[in-house]
Amino acid sequence: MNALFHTFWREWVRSRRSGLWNLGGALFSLVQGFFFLLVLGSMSGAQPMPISPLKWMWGGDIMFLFLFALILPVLPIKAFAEERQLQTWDPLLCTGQSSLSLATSKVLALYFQWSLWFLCLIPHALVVLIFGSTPLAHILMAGLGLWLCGCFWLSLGSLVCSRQSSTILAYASTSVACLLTLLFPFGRLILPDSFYRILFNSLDIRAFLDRSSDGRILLFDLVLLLGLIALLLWWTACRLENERQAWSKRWKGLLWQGSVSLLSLFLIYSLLVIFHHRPVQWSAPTHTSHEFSKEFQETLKNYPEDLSFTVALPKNLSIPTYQHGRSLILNFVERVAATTSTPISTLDPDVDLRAMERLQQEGVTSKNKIGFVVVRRGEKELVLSYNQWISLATMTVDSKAHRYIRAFHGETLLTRAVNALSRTERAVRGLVIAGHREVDLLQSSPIGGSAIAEMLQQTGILLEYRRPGVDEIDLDRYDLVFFPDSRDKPGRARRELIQGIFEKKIPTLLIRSAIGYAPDKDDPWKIYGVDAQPHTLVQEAYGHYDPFTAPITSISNHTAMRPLQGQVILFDRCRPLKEGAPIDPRLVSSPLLRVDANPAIWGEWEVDFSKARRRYAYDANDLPSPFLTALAVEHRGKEGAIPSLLVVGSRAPFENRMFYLGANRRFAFQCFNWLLEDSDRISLPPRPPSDHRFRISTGWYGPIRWSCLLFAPLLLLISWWWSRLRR
Amino acid sequence: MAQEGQTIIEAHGLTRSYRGSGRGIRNLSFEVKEGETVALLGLNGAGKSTTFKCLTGLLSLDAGHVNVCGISLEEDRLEASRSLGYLPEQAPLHPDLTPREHLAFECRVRNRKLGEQFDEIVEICELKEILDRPVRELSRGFRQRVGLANSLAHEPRLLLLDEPTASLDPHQVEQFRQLIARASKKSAIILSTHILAEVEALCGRCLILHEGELIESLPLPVESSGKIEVEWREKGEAIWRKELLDAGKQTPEALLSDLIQQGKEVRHFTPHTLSLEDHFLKATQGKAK
Repeated sequence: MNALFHTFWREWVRSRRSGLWNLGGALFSLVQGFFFLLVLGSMSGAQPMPISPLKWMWGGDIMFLFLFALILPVLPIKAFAEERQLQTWDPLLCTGQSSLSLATSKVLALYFQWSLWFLCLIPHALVVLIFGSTPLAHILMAGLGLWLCGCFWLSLGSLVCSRQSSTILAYASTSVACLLTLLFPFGRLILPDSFYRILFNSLDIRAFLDRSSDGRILLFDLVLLLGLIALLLWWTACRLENERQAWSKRWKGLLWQGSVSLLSLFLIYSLLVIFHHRPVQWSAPTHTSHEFSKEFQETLKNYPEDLSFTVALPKNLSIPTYQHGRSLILNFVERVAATTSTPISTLDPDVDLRAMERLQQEGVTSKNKIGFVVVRRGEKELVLSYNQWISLATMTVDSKAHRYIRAFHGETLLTRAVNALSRTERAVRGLVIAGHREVDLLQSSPIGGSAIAEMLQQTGILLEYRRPGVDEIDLDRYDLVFFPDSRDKPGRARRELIQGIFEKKIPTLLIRSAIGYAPDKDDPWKIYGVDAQPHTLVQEAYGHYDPFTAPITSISNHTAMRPLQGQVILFDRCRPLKEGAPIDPRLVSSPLLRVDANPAIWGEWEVDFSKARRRYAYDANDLPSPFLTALAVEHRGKEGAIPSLLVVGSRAPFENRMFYLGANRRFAFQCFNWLLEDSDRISLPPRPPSDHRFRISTGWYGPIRWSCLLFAPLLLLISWWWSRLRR
Repeated sequence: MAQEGQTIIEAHGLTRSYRGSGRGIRNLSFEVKEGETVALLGLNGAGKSTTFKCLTGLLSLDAGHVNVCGISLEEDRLEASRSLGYLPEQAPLHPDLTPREHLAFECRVRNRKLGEQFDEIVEICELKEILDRPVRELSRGFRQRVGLANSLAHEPRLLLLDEPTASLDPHQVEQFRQLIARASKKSAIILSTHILAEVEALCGRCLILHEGELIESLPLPVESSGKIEVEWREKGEAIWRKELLDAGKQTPEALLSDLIQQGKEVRHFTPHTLSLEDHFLKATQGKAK
């Protein structure tokens, strides 16, 4: 221990006096200052900040991480490669220390040095804390994530540099190794579904940073990272020890180390599986006993009122991808529970049976349903169902899993909205949309377009099922049209729709200038003269990351919308529309938007319709026939009831990562309330959304900017220069 | 402390080869006792540095064994290496650290306190003036001194010096020799060098290596060759002649007496001795590549 401490101390002292170390620290400070200013600038705009602002620094989206991966290798090359270059390594080995002790002390010294660099981030964290409203716990968690990532890279660098005697080569190889771990997730794309793919997915350092910068570090992340760090340390020590051996003996050492490494990896992975798939117990055969994880129950106890969330997702289905998706769903529900101010009751263990029965009554075949989430208030409930294990096969990638969940939100909204409308007393005009991105999953589900039409007919809402063209849409019925995302160039159907809207001077809200879209002469909206329309509100440049929060907020505040305030209006992407319009004396229901079997649309998801159905297609209902993505509904209500307008249906507000954005959450809960026929609650806003914007005066911004860019790096360099002068 | 004449290091059958190269050492056996200063001589590539690395445990052996103060290097490298001090050709120093920090580390990492021992080493190596200056500001001679002080800091029983004066100027060489002489009072020393004068001045024995094999172990100073170097002339002659005479079975006194009786004038009569250089060249003659 004594030797370990003194070697640690020697490493620290010689690094502190080294120009390279100080230069690296100054560079790191400068880089993170530069990116922090970018974050500061972009996050002080009009939008509420949804999450920890540090997410934008090391969530893997910007160059900060790449630069970080290029600066950090300075540390291990000093500790190992430079030691060899100066020929001080051999005498160090003669000091009576073991290779493990040497490697440990050096790596610990590296962590210490990295921690000192890391201190440069404290002022930024303070700025976030003081001028924003991100909780301290989120900031600390985000910091811990980056620090751990640095430690992992340092351990990797130690392994790479342990046998290098050229500092230049050591730097290059360490940088490459760090960058490869950043790019590693791309590797999983070429791997077939297997144990290795799952393992590699777990090693996604960017996903880890993304989670941590969002204020979450999962237990399996910790297990995996700490396990890998320990393994890398052991490997480094082995390499140092192995170096002494004659070539004839070395292969035995390599064999031994390889075996132990594989075993360790296996153990780490096992721990990961154990911790990652935490229990939500499910007894499939009896459907009676449910044990939810303590953590989840504790979360729910904080909301002891009458809204309940019941999760019924069997645990015993041993498909890893399903388990992954299941954890995402649980995460979604936990987010709902954690962010709502609406009270939540305790869980009903038998709800799954009743919900299952209900689904069956609704004509939804239950044979493919393997789980669902029930949102309940009193006697009313909203069932979000999750089915088809086939789609689970696509859930290995997070984004696909999101899509999968979204898809069923869209589907559920369609069916539930229609069902609920048929029972309400109010006069309602509505547009229900399942966003077009869900189509591929819905198409592959047993509930295809024709199945939905069939289901609507069974409920008695839809008396006739037709497929109208654009011309048949009765635009007079709408008080508002809202295009939240104008990036897409309008197709023929949309063009016709827009022209119709303009002609009728229906108030229109258009949002544009999203990222990747430059409003120039090719701007499709300019071509159609959107700016010239007096009744059109165009909101520019609301930011790229949240196409829904700003629009919904804007709608609420726009004078033209005041009569509609408290009600939800959303119009998602229009798609070609050809046919279908029901006539119902009680409820006018029009399948408005329909996705054509156009390869250009489907090609987005790489579906080749010239070939047979995808391998996970079910039956005739799954044919890629035109599919209902939106439904206009109108309920006349009691005589004299004032009609309200509802446009529902984009998947994004219900998307996990979007849900806790203030306006999205509000929108979603208004939908829930409305669907639960609790009309009074429609305009009842939930807990105010947390606004994490920075509010910095110009007076403050100046000093912060200069301290980020100049003060901290200069301070480091000057202190080094001064210490050299003094000596 | 070791007993007088105790074996400090015992190497037996040391063999180590390098992959893809004929170089290395083969079947090398020797021992060094306490108080001895032994030189390791050899041409470039003879295996001197490899021998040192094997003795310090930096390289493992293909065959043979090394005992340091009775501890087997193979079985307990860490414990055995605690009795060794090692100074490579270039003093292994960090330019940013001061000599004091180097010495302090060498002591502390081996659980030794900085006390009188520290002052003594500073005194021996004459480092007092430069103790707190960064190594990067020191001359090469001083750096070698610091390196020597480093290797002495933990009072090793055996000091391994690998060509320590190779890059020093003549003044520095002379100073460094004096340091080694002082250090030899505290530790046994194995010195690798090409400077034969240094060996003759410092060592009591030399081991000559050639192509990885120990070809001669020579006590120093080298013994007489058995011939007599005589300078004589006939009476009345003006020129003195030098000659090497083989005394045969005669004693030198009898030979001198014979010469005088033969009427020769003798002004120089000494036993003839081969120099170390002669020995070295003779031993490696025709073998240099």
